[in-house]
Amino acid sequence: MGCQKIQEMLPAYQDGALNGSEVKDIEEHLLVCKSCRNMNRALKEAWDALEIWDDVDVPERSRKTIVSRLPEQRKMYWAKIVLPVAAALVIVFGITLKFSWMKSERQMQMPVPAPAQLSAEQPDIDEDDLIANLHILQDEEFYDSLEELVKIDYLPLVEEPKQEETDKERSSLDVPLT
Amino acid sequence: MEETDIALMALIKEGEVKAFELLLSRHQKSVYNLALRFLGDPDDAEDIMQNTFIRVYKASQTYTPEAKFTTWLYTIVKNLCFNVLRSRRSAEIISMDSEYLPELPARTEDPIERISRSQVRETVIRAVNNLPENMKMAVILSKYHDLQYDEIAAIMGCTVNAVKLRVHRAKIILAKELKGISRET
Repeated sequence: MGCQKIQEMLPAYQDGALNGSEVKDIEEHLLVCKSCRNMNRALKEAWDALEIWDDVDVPERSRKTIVSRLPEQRKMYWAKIVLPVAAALVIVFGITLKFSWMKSERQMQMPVPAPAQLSAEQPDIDEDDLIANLHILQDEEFYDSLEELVKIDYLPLVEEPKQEETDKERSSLDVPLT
Repeated sequence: MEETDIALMALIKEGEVKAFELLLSRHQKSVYNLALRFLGDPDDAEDIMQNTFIRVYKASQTYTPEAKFTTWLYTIVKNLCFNVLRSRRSAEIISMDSEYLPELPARTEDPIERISRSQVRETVIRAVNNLPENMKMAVILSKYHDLQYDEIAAIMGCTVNAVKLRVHRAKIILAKELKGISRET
């Protein structure tokens, strides 16, 4: 093994991370190579030299600042739990409200089927029932019902007499005053 | 009997501020010094220490001990440190790492020895600060926090072999940078 390879392996050698044969190779090389011996020593000395960089004390104000920030953190924690739950409830309530409003509006907007459509959609009209209930129908319903009866040929379509014919009939009925 | 860090976390969850203060006392110095050595700026180190412990406090509600407490704690510090580096880079602020030199503790040394020691310290700090970021973090955790390679790997989110490689390469770089310097101390 050359010096470069040996020097790359020296940190692992110092860590005790090499296998038996690698350790043997390095130790044999160190016995005969001054440069690698120097490097081996330099590695250890440099690592030990780092100890000169001592720890520094923490500023006292920093500790006080941390402790003073704790209550707000606890509030924020609860807010983090409560707010999403409240928001979810509002959303669910809002959606429910919206759907129920849309449903009622749809029902109000639904067109009332015209009598003609009714007859087309409901061909099986109970004629007896219709006739029996004629007396309780309102005017419009009455005429609508009459139309229905005409359509189903229950009532004959009677042409309205013209005005002239009506007058003639009247005049023939007139009794001359004596 | 002294409460373990994990037991203290359980007490903090119950709202025990005293438990939090005890945890803070136990770890504030190591957290502060990790950030200070890595970033080289006392203000940034102070911010990171505060944010780390606020996160610890908030996380106490959901904390589940899956690893050593310090592994989890240092992972928070490491992440915050790298965030600061990223924001520094995006703001194009050149870190003047070598400008920060902690004050020497009072020692009974003669002036010549003190000057020499101060120069050695400056050289050591500069050499560590010149290491690539991941290498520097691995060296700091290994040298100043006595962490094993597997713990460092967990903190840094890499393999144990990657940590070994970083530390070994860093040792070679430092040996070249600090050649002969330790004999002056």
